[in-house]
Amino acid sequence: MEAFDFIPVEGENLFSIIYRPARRLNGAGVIMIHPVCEEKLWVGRASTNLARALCDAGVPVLRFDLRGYGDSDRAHHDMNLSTAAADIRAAAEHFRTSENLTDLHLFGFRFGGTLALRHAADVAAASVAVINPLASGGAYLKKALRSNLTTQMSIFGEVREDRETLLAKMEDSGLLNIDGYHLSREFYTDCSQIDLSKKPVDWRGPGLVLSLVRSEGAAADGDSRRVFEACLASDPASRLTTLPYSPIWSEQKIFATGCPQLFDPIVDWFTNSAPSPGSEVG
Amino acid sequence: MQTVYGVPALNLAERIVTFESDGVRLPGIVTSPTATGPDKLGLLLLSPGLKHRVGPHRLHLKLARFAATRGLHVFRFDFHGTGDAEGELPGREVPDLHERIQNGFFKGDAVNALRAFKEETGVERVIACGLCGGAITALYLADADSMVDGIIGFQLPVKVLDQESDFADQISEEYSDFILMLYLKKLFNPDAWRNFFTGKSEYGLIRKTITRRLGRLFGAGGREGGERSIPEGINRIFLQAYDNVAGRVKMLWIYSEQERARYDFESEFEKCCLAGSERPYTKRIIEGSNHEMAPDDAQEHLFALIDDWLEHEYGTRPGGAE
Repeated sequence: MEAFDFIPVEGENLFSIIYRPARRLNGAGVIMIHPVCEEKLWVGRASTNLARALCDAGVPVLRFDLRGYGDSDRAHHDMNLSTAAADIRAAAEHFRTSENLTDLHLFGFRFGGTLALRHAADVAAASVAVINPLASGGAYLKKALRSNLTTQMSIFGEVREDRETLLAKMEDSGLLNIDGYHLSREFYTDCSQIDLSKKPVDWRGPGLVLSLVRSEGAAADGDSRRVFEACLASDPASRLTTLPYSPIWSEQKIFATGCPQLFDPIVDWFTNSAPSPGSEVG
Repeated sequence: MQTVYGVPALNLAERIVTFESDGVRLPGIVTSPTATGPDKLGLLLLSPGLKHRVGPHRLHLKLARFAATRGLHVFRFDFHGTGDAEGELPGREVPDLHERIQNGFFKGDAVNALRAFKEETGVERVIACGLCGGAITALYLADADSMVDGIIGFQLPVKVLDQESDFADQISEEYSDFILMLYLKKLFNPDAWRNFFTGKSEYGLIRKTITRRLGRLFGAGGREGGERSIPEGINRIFLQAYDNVAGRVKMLWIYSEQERARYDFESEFEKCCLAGSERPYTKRIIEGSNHEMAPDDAQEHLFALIDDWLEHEYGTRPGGAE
């Protein structure tokens, strides 16, 4: 069963969906944290189908929109890393209570994975699984700025506002437009400080890092390797694995719905590998 | 707290509504009016292509919260097989799915959403609105149900591209010239020459845009005539639906200046299909915009155009009717 609802947080609302299995495997549940900007849109259908795959395996799942995203309250430029932290805590509390969970796991694509690792300790997560997490907020923002320049090229055939001009405008107006999303100066500044390889998170695992790569035998991407080494490698149960698969967080010629090849490692992690209470519930 | 385009973002009266469409459950969000407006008038937002009810850069959420401040009820939902909806699509090839959408694949879901919208809010007249695939679905919905009183469409596609044929052979003369102009702008760009000499340029497209331009310089003139003709590639299902609703339904078509669909609309639909006919719609062009209307100025312009049109056609006012 899929239950749509709003979760209250600080007087505002988070849009949420709980996927409830007919029969639960154990007392564990998974919260999925979405990536940011247009990457959220591109992984949307695959996220829905991953939640359904986990639910079919007997694991309850909560998906929700951070404030400033999706159907949740706030304009996009009013979200920041503090509101994201409060949202994750509120979602975790709500999910634990409503589903009577004994263990809570986190999952995230890309920046959603970065947020999952940053807040795993806050919500006492039992484990985390991430797909191509971002190690550096600054590097991510550089790529996002490049997207603005690419948009200018496609519209005008030239770059009219270079990187420095855009950042100066952000200093002035407080906003930076990335693919139509308005990032606030506060978000930009805070996100720039994130560097999981130099400033690891408090939480030490266990966790799964799944790196989607171009071809069979290719090494995991640099971000996945850095995140794994800095945040998870100290726990012997942690794993870094690769899967040849297209980068579904960007526009593709194939509708990115996901498939068992992508979902199986995640489902396996949360049903077999990650710590769980073991007893069947519900 | 900041706002963008006068759209308040906090604690609006939004509620989740799910409904059945051909045996699958589709989720949506109803936004209630936050001001007084035209009686029982609603805005139904139709998702673009394979994207979900929120739209690129939350465009549909911004439109919903904006329309609510003009006194309209708003409903936006996921088509089956997309977003958070149940159901599966018949394949995963995006060009094939886009072609299906252009031929009315989501019309049934739109009809069922209209019924759910009416049942949930009591609206009796609806403006159907969407971007690209959402725009053409809006037209099909208007053809299918007389409750649709108006259409606001962005980047409406009027041609279906044949995936097996060369792209350069299927674009209008005007769009071919536009592409050629973009290449000419790069004549003094070293990166462009590097791409050219390292096999990264689209040589076929460059050659064809040049030969088409030269052909017209030394050959035949324009195609605009006094009688209707239907150019190759024009979507005849679209044309039939347009003919059925023209004159009955108010229409606002908005295009980005450089959008290929705009060239198809102006060069082939208006000049050929509507030759000698009236044009009972409003058309507006936004400069400096991409397909999704992402730049700041484009978003601002878009909302201003919609505001003007709503006020002209329905008497809406910022903050509610007097």
